[in-house]
Amino acid sequence: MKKITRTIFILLLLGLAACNNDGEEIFTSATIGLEAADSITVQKIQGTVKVVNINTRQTTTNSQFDNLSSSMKLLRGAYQITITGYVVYLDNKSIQHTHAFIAYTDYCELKDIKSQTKLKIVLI
Amino acid sequence: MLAPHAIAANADSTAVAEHYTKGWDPLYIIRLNNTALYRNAFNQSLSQIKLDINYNKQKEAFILQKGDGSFLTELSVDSYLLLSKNTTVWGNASYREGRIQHVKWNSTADYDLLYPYIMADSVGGNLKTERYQFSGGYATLVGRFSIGGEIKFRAEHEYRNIDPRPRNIVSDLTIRTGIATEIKAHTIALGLEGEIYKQTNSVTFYSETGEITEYQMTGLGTYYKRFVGNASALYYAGTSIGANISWIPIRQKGFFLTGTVNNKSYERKAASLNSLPLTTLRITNIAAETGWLHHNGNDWNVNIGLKYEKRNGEEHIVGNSSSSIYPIILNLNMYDSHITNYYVRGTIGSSKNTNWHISPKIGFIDYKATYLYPVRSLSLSKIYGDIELQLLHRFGNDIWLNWNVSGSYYANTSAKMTMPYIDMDGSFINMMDYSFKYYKANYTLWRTKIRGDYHIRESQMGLFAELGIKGAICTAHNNSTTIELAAGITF
Repeated sequence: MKKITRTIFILLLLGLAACNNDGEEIFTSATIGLEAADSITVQKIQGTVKVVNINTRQTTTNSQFDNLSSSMKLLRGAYQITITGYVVYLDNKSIQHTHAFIAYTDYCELKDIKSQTKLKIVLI
Repeated sequence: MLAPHAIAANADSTAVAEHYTKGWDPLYIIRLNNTALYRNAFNQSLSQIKLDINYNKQKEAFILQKGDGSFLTELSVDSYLLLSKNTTVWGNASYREGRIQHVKWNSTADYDLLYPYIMADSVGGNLKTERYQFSGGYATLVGRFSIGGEIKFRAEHEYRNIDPRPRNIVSDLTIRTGIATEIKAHTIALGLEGEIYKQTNSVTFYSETGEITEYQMTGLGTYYKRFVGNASALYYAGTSIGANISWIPIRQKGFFLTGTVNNKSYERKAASLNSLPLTTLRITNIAAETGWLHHNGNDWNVNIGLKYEKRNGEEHIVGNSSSSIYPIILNLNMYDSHITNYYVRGTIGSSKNTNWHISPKIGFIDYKATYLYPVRSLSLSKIYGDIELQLLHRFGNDIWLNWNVSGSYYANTSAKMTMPYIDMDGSFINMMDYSFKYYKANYTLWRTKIRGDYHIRESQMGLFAELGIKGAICTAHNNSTTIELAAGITF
């Protein structure tokens, strides 16, 4: 009788154990960086990062930059990223310029718990 | 229980009494769930042909996705035959057709099974439905072991002939096996079951004035936005596996215990996107009941039970397509729901001259559903009480009347819904608010059913007729009435 009761409880516990893992992290700490052409040295960036989740169509924006990168917490997934703003840079003759720029990708996977990507600055 | 049982003459009037008065008996419910135990669920053979008409009308739909009424007609044949003292076979074949009225926010068949991962639109309409179902089982005694098996197949078709036009075809195959043996004063039984499920689910439009948006719902009013309107041909592929164990007294007197575990998994694929898997729903069911029973003519039993269901919804995150091939880049568990039902039930009654049983039950239901991001949640709990009376009386030698009546009250003790209303479209807000209104209501349910059987003298045949009426009233100012009429032949 004791053995049977124990077997039943083990079966029920196995059933409970078969329940799926609830603790999976759904967010990513994403770092989106900018990279410039070798001929210029970026001194300062001011702009807005706009990320659109391709699957949920949810849009997130961020205007805070730490040097050439911006960090945000996002749902793990695939994104379209657009960064627009102004860049202050030195050219190869060390002359300072201020220019509008855009950086864009229509597809970027930010799917790990910590993920990062870099976009090229295009002066406009 | 494994001892040879009496094989009575086919379908005399007492067979009818035995087969249709067992709803109160926890051992009967246990036997239904295990093919090896079902071998001697009854002492007498009985077959029945039945024509059943069921009409339901709600003032407005309690659950939008299931409509506000139905009219269903079913023809069924059931048979339970004791072939020898050791062997029993049983079978069922049925055909049901009819219509379901004013279904909204659901274009998928088997809503109770597949929610929340269904296809939906805000228009809906009436649905025509037809269902074919066949099952057959066999159980025999081999040495000290009773072994049994059963195959069950269901094919169902739901459709609408005006836009939006869902056409859903379900095929569902279930195989069950069981083994039982006696240990001292008890029978121990183990059962296994597996299921293969498939549904093709499509919605088409004939009108030239434009299509209505079909949404791939993902739980609590969310939907897969990337595939809005371009994935209206789906199929569901599912499997389930389950096990049960029971420990029941041989002499209908003593301690009993039963437990069931079932795991199901249903994948929703977009047929029009190269069978792209959109979501996977995993369902875990656990049920356990234990108690003490004493059935020797003056019957009583007391039992406590637990039923638990967990639904876990996984969304497949899709990457960039290449030549219409979509890669899955990761899977996220976004939806999660738990429902637990705890109850205590007792029965007192008599199985002597006038067969009667009263079964009071009290219980508590706790439900919580969560969508992780943007966060949405719905939780509620209800306390309930239920009482059932079954009464069987014989008039002369040939006429039996079996009367069942029950009443229940479900009182809401807590209810809370959190929604990101600012990000939701108006139609989805209305749908969720409507659903919540009925989630948090208090319900009074009642049911009465009377069945009369007439045994044709000097034959093995009988005639019967049934009339049942069910009602539901809730504090959200809604009510429902169901009328069931049936007639048929027993043999």
